[in-house]
Amino acid sequence: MRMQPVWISRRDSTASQVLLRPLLRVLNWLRIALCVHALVVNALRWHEVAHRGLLVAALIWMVTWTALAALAYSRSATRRQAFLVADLVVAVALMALSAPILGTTVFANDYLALPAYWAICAPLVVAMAYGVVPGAITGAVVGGILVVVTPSLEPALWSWLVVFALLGAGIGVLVDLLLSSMGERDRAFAETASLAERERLNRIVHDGVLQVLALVEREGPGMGPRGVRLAALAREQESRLRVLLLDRSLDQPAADQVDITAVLDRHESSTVTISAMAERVMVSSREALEIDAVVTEILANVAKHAGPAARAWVLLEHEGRELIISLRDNGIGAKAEDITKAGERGHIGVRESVLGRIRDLGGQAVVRAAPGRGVDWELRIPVQ
Amino acid sequence: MTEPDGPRVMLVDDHPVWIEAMSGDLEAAGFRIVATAATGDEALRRARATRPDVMVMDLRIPDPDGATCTEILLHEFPDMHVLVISASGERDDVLRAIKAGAKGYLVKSATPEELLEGVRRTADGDAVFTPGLAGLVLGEFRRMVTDAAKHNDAGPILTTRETEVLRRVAKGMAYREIADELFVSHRTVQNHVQNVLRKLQLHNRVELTLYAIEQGYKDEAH
Repeated sequence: MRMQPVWISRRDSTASQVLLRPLLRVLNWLRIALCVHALVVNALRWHEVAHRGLLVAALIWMVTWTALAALAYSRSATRRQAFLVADLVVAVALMALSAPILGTTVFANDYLALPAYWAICAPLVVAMAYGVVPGAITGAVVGGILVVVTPSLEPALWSWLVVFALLGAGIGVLVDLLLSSMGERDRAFAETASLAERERLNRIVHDGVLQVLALVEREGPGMGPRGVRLAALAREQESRLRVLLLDRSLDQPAADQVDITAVLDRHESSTVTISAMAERVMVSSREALEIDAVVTEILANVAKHAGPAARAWVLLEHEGRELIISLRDNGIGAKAEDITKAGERGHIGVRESVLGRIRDLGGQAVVRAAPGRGVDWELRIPVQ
Repeated sequence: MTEPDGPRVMLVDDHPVWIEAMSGDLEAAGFRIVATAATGDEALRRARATRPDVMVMDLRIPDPDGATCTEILLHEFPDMHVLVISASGERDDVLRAIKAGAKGYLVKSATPEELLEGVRRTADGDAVFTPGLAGLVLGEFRRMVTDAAKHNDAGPILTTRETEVLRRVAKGMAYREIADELFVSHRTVQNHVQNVLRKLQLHNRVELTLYAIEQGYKDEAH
């Protein structure tokens, strides 16, 4: 339910503004029509009315208020909560005056109130602005005041309360539904727009910054030791930027399936090469997280233990219902049993992060290593 | 410039600085730059006019893109050797260019030495097999086998040996290391790699022909 009256402040969402302005315009026409109807009803029973002078005064007030309301609700400056309260008070007052002005017996003929159905307009505005519950309550108050003034069990009298409450609730429900569907549409639109904006930025970064960085990388080494450092910095930044660009495939909203290729591509850097097939391989986001954690751990080990000049290659293959991820580095290597037993020496990383995670995914991890010949992992993970 | 009759090279890239840097390096190494282009349209026009031996093609150029240009040009001039340069690992575009007959692909961050070596190998008609390309080709053969199984016919398949070699290339091993590990000669490894690419490109040509024939039948039926 909307706590803020959606139509009285500038903080309103565009959706409510767009929806409520035409609705209020329709309501103004309804109010005028119901006003005319009330005038006709009272003209027809003119001869039976107890206090004709008061009736004329009440009807003039009703016509005046109809005009005021048309003006007030059509302008944002006067579309204020205070006016809506006044609108409700006028409706209740005119309803309450029905029996005293018409005369109790005349009113009891058909229980048609002095302003007839005109009084429903104020609760309808409440329903549009505040939603279903306030709409129903104000409807019940405006309709129910008749029962308070002339207490009776007459069904025709009680039906005012029931019908007004239901009308208030009904319009409230409709407007709520419309607003939420419009909000949804706006959100979807905003998402598309932000994706498009990101695409545009990608293109700019891609065609500009990345090209220059690649050029610095390329030309730097020819300019002496300083150039070599510059090239290394440029390479680092290029890898990072590229990872950011690739991120877009991951942040699609509510993705319970993600492309594992895009996940692995984020590890691409000047020392890590990622090879994969052209097609996307979708896995559940839980599997993607686990696989990502494993690859992160292994690559972190390469960076830590394989030596400063080591490079790493990651190959992703999709065979039948199995993902095969091979990770190889050309570093100083180790004995395979040293890697798997690393847990005992305090390196719990490999045992927990790699072997444990792969086991949880129902897969297998094989490591081959020899001193001086790098480390070669092969992870096999079942996927749907 | 030292060898005026060196391979004739055309460079396609929408960044003048890149063209400048690459042509400097290539000319210093004895290649002749016969044309450059910054857009797909220019690339097609100038390639038709100058008939270079080697095209160095950036994939990200204004329409038509590098992969499409590669397809068009290799269709018209099957003897042209195309080396694809891609700044991002946009695998589907790279694959498209490779299937159309490109000799290989390098990333833009490749060193000038790697680029020279790549152009040299391309000019000789050899494949430029980077780990990225090996992964791409492996994946594509797997896909074709799965596809063929669905239609109950035999698709092109890699031999066990070819798969072994490709996987090792994709894992960053040099030909020499692969040769040592598999107890074969360096030359054998190279042959396997070349074969694989030829198989992929041949299959692509067969597919295109079959498609054209099918379309022809359909047109006749109407």
